[in-house]
Amino acid sequence: MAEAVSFWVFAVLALGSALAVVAMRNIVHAALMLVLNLLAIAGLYLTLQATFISIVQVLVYAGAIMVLFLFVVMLLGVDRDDTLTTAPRLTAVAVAGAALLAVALLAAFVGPYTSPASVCGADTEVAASSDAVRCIGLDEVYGEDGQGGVVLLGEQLFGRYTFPFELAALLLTVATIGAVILARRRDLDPEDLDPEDLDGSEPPPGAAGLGSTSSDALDLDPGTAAADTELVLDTAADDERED
Amino acid sequence: MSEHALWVPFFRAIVVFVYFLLVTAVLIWAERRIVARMQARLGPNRIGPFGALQTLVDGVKMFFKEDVTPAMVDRPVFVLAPLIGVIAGFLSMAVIPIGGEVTLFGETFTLVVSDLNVGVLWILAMGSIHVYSVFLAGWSSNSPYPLMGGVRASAQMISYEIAQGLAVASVVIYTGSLRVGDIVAAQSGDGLFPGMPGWNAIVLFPAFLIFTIGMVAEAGRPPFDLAEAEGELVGGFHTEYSGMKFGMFMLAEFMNVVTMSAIMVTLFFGGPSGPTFGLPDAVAWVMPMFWFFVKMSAFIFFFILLRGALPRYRYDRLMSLGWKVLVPVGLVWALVTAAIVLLEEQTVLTTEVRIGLGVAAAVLVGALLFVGAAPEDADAIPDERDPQDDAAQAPGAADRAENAEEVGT
Amino acid sequence: MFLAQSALGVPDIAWSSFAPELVPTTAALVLLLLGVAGRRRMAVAAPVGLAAVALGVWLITIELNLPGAVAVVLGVALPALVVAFPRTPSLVQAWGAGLALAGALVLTLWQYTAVLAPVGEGPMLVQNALQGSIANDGIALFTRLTVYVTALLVIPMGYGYLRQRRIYRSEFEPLLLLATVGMAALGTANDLITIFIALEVFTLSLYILAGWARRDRRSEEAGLKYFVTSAIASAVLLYGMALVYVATGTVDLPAIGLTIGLVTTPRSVAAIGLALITVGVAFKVSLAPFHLWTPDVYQGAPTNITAFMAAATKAAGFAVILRLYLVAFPTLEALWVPVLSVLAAITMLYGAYLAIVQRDLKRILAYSSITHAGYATIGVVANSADGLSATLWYLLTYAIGTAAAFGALIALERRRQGEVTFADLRGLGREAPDLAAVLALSMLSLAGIPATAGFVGKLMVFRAGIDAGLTWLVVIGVVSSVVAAFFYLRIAGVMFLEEPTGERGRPQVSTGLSVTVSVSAVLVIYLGIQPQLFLDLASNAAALVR
Repeated sequence: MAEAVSFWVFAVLALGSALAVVAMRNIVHAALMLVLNLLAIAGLYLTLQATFISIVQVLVYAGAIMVLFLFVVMLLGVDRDDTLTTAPRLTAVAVAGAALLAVALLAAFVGPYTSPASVCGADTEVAASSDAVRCIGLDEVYGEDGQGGVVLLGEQLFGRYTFPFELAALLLTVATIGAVILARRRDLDPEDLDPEDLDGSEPPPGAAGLGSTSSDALDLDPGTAAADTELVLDTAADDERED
Repeated sequence: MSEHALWVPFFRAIVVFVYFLLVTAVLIWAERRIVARMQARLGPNRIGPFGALQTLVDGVKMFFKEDVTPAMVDRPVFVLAPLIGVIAGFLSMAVIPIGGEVTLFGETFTLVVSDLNVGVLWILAMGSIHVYSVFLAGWSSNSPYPLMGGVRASAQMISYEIAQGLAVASVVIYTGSLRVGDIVAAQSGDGLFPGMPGWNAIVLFPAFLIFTIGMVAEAGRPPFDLAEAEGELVGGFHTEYSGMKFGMFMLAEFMNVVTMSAIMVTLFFGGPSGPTFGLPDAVAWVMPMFWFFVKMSAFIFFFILLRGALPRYRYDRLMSLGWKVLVPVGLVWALVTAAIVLLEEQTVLTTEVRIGLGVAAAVLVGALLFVGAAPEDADAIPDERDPQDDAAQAPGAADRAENAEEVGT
Repeated sequence: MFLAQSALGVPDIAWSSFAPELVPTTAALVLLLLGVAGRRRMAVAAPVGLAAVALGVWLITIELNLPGAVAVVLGVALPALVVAFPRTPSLVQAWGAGLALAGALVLTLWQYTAVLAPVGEGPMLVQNALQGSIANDGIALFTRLTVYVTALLVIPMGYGYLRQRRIYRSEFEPLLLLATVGMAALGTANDLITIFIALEVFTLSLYILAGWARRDRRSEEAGLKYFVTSAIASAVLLYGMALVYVATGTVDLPAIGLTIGLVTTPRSVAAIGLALITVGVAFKVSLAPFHLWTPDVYQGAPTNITAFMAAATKAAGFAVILRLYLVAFPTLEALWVPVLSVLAAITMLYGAYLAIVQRDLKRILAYSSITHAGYATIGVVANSADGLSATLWYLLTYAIGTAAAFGALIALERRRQGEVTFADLRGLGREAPDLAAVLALSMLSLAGIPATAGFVGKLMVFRAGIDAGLTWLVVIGVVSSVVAAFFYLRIAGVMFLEEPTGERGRPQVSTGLSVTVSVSAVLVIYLGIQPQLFLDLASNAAALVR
């Protein structure tokens, strides 16, 4: 009973706030609604007895990611209302697409996942012809765990899913490198990028293997060349803008 | 837990709530008195004995003061911000046991609102929700100083949350449980030798240090109160607030001090555990409450001393302390803890080996701490930066450059 | 004192199953460290080299000679490089990355010969490793080959280019290596989670690489555009994966394949999941109408990055498409074959049509890559062993041809220092005959003219399509090829038949560029004339972990 009540409360909250995220005109308000949405979903996890995931949801999404998001919004000052206006045609397309997906999902889920067999604990036979789904609850797994899914999760991460887990470490490495590169205010020239190094005295990679076409190389003065490159590209970009 | 009578949860909630509220009230008074003493002043001394009722009177004053809401603010968020702070503060108290087992009207229960199986994370999560209060207050005020205060505060809190989280992680790894009750229980026995308390603060000393620094920064207390910094930012995030809304911020801040001290005591100093001196059972249940109060008061006192003694930190130093010292050291220490736990699981270590390992690890972390910090100290002069660099921190926002520049420094 | 510590067994790790990826991963991290170390490079290089040599010696003592040798060579090479180029750390980076990729290639071949080589006639053996996260089969083998070869070609190709544009940074090679690792891992990934994470590893690297020239607004635009569209595609893909998991209760592709066939699986949920997954992967390999990001991103990104994106991303993207559709969704064939066929048809026609009206060569090649995604899809929808090996082979030849084309483009761009148009090609055959020859050759290969690698690939794909009864699709493919041949041949024609206009200096060909371009040109011809060895490999590769 308590489970049903909390489910409905959180579900309505999650749906309502999700709608509000899209409908709100002020980006900070929308972001706050997203926070509410994430909290409501954490509440749904809680109803499923997955305390660990629930609290991590609050900690990571509501507590860290959304704060950073708002932080950037504030720092860049993009919180003015006019930045969020979209063409009505695009809105119509988006609404139509979302409605289509919603209808499809409803049609797909309402039948099989609301049948008597899908209720956990019910021993209803699943008819072979119907689309109905048998309940696959996490009850047993969490039952012997007692820590809200921590042990279960740990065992999965370091057992079955070791490889993707380690890959995720690479993902974070890449993200860190990217963040550092983007955040660096001014590119430091690599220490070996002095003009005298660029005059061809240092062999580029591959020099050992071949020299046949290297006589074709006609390096311009690297300093001016580099400056020109950027200049040309910048003016090109400007031209495009004016068009 | 569920077998208790219906009144038990309510009773526990009310006791804990009132307890922390009272301690907060006392703290506010104590802080004013102690800081005054440190500065050779008298402090509040008119109302009640030693001015002890001053807080009450101030509260009444705040409540009846005109609550000015400036015209340009984002009203819903402006009202919401102080509430979030107070609510998050109250909620994080829910998992902290303030005493041991208590028997009342035939029901035996622990004095804690709810011993969640992920209680430690609950504390961290509520801390991270608390960020919103400061942050949204700064933004919704629609005024430059509060915005800067808000941005500073959120950056500071997020950074130190990571360090704090790593310190907590080593506690969790060492204890093997996320439940606050288990962590308290694991510390209640003897330490390495009989008579020595089994507190995590001793075994996990580096984590304790990191947590201490982190908690001061999280609570936004001096010397890390850059978010309000009355010298530079008027009042920081709460400049535009007045009346009861301002009062709520004050309440949240002081409550944070109490909560942080309570968390510290719980995670690192054994919580309510302590000797009962062979007292009869009828009286012995008071002892855990007593110990908890004593330990917590010590930390609250520590907070007050810090405020009285230390000047405010510079913001860039604050951030580099967090990211370049505390986070790496916390990370290494969490690894060391994990390694020791693993060793402990697989082989039986003698006390000497344990102490040896502990000392070696402490030396390692200490070296990291000081070697890592050394280059930081070298540039005691503020580094010369050209304003363009700071503007570049907000890429693509040239029109807001002046704003970003202020925020960035 | 310790509560609730569960006794966790350390899972068995089949190191050989992902050995090729270990080399570039380690190299990327070491090169990053080298970049951080600055002048104290030796302090990093010496211990790392020592450790690698020790590891190699240990591997040799346990009879793993080739991996041991690779470790020893790399371990010796690292300090040697630091000593050899004391004043040019960028060369250390480039050489180090190149050697690591070569090591990865060696290990890929070692893995094939030592573990997976077919016994007698028939397809190669397959290996299902790491509790089902990894499948070493034909897709994995060919993806690794394609990706590592492409990266190996791209690094020397872009070295001089990056330095001349003054956008060289020491993070370049590590990021490229990590992208390569992500792609190779995507080729081996056999469950939805691994697929998604591997996909993110390489797309994230490519976002950064595409926006590498930060002072150039078009590069910035490319990075941002790629990031936004690709992130949305990832989200859609992930949603689809979640729905498939809901329907089947498993993330392992073979298990999904089995479960979807059961009557108890709600097909409608799985079908919606499949639809969303299709949208997601179509974005990643730029099938029309999900290709809109491609021209802008390819045009804006630094040219060597574009080469890498065009050649390697396609291989990785199709690896995941092949695996998803052939392993996880064969029972939903009736749903995805028509959809993908229509997408392929639109892609082939639209890409070829739009390529004609472009004047920037990078945009032409971008549309050409879209068109080629369409051809490769024919092999997928054939849904047969022939189709599988045809697609794998096609991707390899496409990658090499594209790398050669972009290599020639880099030389032209270095001269022009801006976008390269037809005007720049005029009379190139007289000014720089070797470069023009390479460019012409790669164009012929991309057009699918006989005696080039592209011809064999296209033939195989079309044959697989006809065998599968998709004649209409093959007809569209042929029509599209004819249209596409127009602009490929036009490029060649402009170079050789028209007079040069004015004095423009000569194309700048650095040694690295000339080597890689020559190597890819040789490969294009070799694979066109003597394809048998690799064709055998490709037909052996038609083995999947199901």
